[in-house]
Amino acid sequence: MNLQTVLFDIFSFLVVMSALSVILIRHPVKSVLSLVACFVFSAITWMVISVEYLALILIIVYVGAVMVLFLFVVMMLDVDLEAMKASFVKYALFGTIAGLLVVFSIIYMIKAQHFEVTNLNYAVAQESNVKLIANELFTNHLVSFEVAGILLLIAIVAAICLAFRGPKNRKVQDISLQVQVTKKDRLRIIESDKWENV
Amino acid sequence: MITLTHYLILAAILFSISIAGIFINRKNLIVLLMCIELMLLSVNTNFIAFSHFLGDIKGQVFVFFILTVAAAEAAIGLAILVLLFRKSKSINIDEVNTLRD
Repeated sequence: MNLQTVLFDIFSFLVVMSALSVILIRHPVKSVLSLVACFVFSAITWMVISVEYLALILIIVYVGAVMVLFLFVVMMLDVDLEAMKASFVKYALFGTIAGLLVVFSIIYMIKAQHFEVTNLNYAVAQESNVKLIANELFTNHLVSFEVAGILLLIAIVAAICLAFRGPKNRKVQDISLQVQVTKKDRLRIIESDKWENV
Repeated sequence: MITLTHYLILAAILFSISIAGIFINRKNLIVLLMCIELMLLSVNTNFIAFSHFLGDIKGQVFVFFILTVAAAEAAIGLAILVLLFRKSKSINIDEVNTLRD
């Protein structure tokens, strides 16, 4: 019973508990917060087997950016909670049965095949984790790395195109209106004799 | 001593929790998106466990790419969610049947 095992036991328990609270808590904001907790705890379980880089990326980038985006969206939407509660009991039995079925089938498969692999190759633990990932990423997967960058760019453009409402109540030029303007809109003829005595 | 089996069972439990969540919260689109994130997390845990216990760093590189794709998916999914809420003032799945009808 070394430190690794104790840490893994504690934090995997916390991961499972927070994942359960994600799906069982009815309030969306609290649900997102427990999802954040779930991500942090599972990052710690990754850290236990010395996968430091991805654990930190998960906390900093994923929890820090993506989950906060979730939180913003959930807090901005005015969700009708009563309608959400209605379906809960109806599908609870189905959900439990499906979940148990999946977990037992996977565990049976793992046990049957005897994946009792302990640490076979110590090369991962000896060198710096970041160095190993960088070597692999920038030698064998450079093209994929670039494609991932392009994918993020496309995602940004798509998200902005979808959610952008267009200018409203702002002083912006509308080119088509400017081009369509006629003489009547801009020019007003005033009788000149009215102005003689001014 | 932690073995590969510990991590695989943890990932299996996480995956089945998210499947149960998809069944239970059928009406709530936000929770459905969060369940998909949980599923991706469990897959990532599997990749990392195999990568560590078999001593192959490629699994971790793959997790890196999965995180990228998941971030893009979350951003676009939330944009669609905001758009849907703006149109229909609700995110109930049952009211999202414009394409079907």
